[in-house]
Amino acid sequence: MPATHKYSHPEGKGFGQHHAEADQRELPAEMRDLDMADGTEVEHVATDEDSGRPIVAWADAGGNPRHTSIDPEFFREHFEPMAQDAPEGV
Amino acid sequence: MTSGALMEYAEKRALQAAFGLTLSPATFTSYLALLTAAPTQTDGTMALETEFNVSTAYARMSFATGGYTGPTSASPSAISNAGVITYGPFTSAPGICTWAMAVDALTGTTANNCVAYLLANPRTPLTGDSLTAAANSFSTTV
Repeated sequence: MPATHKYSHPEGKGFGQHHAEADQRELPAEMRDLDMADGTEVEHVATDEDSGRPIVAWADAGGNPRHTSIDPEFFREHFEPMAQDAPEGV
Repeated sequence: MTSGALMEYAEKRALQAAFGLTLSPATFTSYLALLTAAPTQTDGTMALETEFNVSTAYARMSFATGGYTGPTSASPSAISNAGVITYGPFTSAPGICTWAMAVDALTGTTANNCVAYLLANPRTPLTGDSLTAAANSFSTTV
């Protein structure tokens, strides 16, 4: 999977953890294992046709492929673009 | 295990394949959408279905995550998801998932409905949760 962005949280929180805490909820252990952890590399694979939200592909700690749609503002704030490798010969 | 029912679009493709007719498209990636109500079975697309909202960070997952088990050499032949399928993490509670639908597009309401699944156990993820379906939990026969 060619990563295009890296999820970055200023307090090192996972994606689900960040939103659960904003909802005054502590994420159970089994859900923390399935969370998008701080530093996760993702690939922006599509944009939702109706909402314009970016859809990113990534792999969780168990190696399972995942798709998650991201709020555009949250995407700009927390997903850092990654430099793409130059093609060979360039 | 949840057993699927072919929708009209998939029934027609199955008959076309059985009689060696040209399939258009020849192949596609199948995605599993999560619904909060039974399929309307009206226009054959996702336009009238009540799917989890993408505002919750939900996105359809490839049915073939980890590959397929089958079609089996049995009668009736069956096919199911060989791998675990996981949704989320959700940024807000998306509702109660009671049905799933295999469709032919990652996004959009023009996706064709292919196979409908009534969940044996409805699922209600909360904010921050991920929702996991085990391997071979969605099975379809002709």
